[in-house]
Amino acid sequence: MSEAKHDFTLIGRPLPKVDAWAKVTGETRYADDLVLPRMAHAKLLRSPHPHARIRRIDTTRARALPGVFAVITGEDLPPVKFGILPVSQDEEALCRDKVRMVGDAVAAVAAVDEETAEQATELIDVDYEPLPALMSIEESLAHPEVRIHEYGDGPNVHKIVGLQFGDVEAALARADLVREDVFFYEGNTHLPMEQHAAVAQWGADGKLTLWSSTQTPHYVHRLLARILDMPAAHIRVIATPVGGGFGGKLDPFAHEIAACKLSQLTGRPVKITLTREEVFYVHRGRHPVLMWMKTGFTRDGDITGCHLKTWLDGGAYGSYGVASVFYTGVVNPVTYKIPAYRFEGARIFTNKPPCGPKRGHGTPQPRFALECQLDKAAEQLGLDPADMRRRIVADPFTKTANHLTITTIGLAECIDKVVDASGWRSKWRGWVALDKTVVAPGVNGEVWRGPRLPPPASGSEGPGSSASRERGGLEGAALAPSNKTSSIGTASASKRGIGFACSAYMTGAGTAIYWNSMPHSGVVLRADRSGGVAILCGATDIGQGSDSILAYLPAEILGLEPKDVHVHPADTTLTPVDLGSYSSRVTLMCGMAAIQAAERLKRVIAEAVARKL
Amino acid sequence: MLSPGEPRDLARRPPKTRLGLTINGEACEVLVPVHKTLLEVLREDLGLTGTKHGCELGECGTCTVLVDGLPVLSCLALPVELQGRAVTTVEGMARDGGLHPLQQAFAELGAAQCGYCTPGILLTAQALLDEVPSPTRQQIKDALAGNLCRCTGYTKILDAVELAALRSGARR
Repeated sequence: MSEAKHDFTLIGRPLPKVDAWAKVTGETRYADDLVLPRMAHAKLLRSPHPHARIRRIDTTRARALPGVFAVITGEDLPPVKFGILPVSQDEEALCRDKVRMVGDAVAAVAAVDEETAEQATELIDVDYEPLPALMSIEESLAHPEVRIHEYGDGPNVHKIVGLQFGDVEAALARADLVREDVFFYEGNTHLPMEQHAAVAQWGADGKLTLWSSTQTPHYVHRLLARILDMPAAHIRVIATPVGGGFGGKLDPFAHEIAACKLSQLTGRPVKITLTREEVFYVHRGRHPVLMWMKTGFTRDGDITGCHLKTWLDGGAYGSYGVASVFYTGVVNPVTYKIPAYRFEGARIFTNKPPCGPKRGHGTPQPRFALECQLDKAAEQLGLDPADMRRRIVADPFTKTANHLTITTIGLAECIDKVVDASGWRSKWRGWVALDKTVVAPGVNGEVWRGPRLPPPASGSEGPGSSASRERGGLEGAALAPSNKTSSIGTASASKRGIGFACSAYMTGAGTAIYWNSMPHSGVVLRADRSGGVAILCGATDIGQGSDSILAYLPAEILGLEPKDVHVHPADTTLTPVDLGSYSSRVTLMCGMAAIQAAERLKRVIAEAVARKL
Repeated sequence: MLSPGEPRDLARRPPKTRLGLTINGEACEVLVPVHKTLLEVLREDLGLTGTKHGCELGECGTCTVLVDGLPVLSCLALPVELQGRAVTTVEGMARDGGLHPLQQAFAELGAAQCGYCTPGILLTAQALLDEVPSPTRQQIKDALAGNLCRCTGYTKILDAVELAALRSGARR
């Protein structure tokens, strides 16, 4: 390993990022920093109701306000529903008939300044007919007569997934210990420091340019063509440097679409910047997930098989939810040997801001469940939780039960290092009787009060059924997620402890959002007479350093300094497609494209020089 | 749909006040409504977009600037109260064509990731180093406690402030 490092001059060395100088001087221009001549400012009017039918929208008073240039509602946009995934086309930029959450946009205003635009939104009269609001997984399943959407795998059920690999029942039957636990992971949101912002400019030539703080300019480009019903070739999407994404800027959003339409109508560039409050409505954050997990263990701590069920609180729209529910099941088996595995998942619609992808998309929730359950099993079996995990780590160059490929893994070595460096052997003093009223309220005999859940896929017992409640013996009892009498938080002053958990995620995102066989990423590498090299790539720098990767790799191969490589990112007119900054894919995908292009350029230059010599 | 291009009814708009401010050592004059925040005036009226808005509630520290050398949340400050006082933004940190040692250290050590919180953190750190040239790690942490970095690059930020202090000390 250490020898290989010497083969590189740049790679492996800590270098300043190529955009570091602009970022420390305030020079970097984020979307909200853009100012264009004659620019108007836009605001959205958002629903105050979680669920309501729209009877009528009257914009007369808003349009009469001095300084207002244009007011639009859903009627001014093509009647197209959209969504980031082809299977979940359920969003409208401006809702026409119904709002499904507080914060759903119903109208938009362009005005001389932000304040006037905001005043105008307050002058739009919307006549709502409130509908019953479903605010939890339980409520949505208990009220099939109230339908948030008219599509999906059941009333208020967006998507059901079921996968089985191996004979899980037989695997559990031969286990020495079978644990059955219920966990609830509360959701959270990305909270980038930069609020979403966009500037749209509809030229007199009928072509549209949109600058936006987006992680996925290519997908926004494709969807805008459909939503605005115009040729994609006439739309240019430029992703500005993103002030933090974390998955929250991966969808096409109402504000982007409204800005485009308002620019067309006013003949002016239009800027829209969300307030911090609006960022919470846009959301697409981590799903709250209810999880039931049944796992068999041998006395030595080996896993014989695992059965996982997840119920995701998806919020009001599909977003990436079909992928999210899938991810709650597929990545758990990659760290440890799990020879038989069964997964059933369901994503439920509720009248809340939609959930979506957030760092580690869909995987921290079931990972939390698995790692907690491993500890519970280790305690019952009297095993050291670090040693137990070390023992069951997946082997390199194998396939998981659900057919994921593990190449190198290094987790065993990682565990060894963490055990040493953390002082685990001296700090972890064995399993001691815990004060369960503080640590885990509801563990002992607490009856599961969760929902009676739909039988996803193959309908077996779930936490709402009598089967799981009545099991005894070595199996664990259910853990109530929302126990109001919990004494957590009332425990005296903070205490320190030590625990052990592992996790994993995949790299590269093997599938495009829309299935196709084209490259996931491409670069154009251009050497010019100055001796400099320009690299054009659709990748978006969201702070992860993709601009720098795009400079380092060609510089390494061509023997240049990173400063000699000019990076031009994320411009759908000029740069080859890159699918976007998500799923830890950019360094792998764009990086490979940059390496291939640089190797070719090097050959071209070498051949030309060779002929000359 | 499109409203006729009515002239703006200036009479209905809030009255504007002439403000004299000293920004990054330069005297500036702006005509703004008195309720505009310093953040808005800097970004919208003076074109100093290096100062960022984060929460606009005084929670995140993103919009921090210096007033007479002390960190102030520009989203909560009213310029009408700051006439005659010296305001420093990130654009004013570099002097004589060279970067401030903090800027240099932040760039070299990768302390700016998405970079959005960076201006506020740089200025808060500058105020610290101006008062305590060789701060302890804990003093740096305390000084930056009001600045959020959502990319969670805190370790490198603390390292960069330490490096800048070290270099400034060596120069003295």
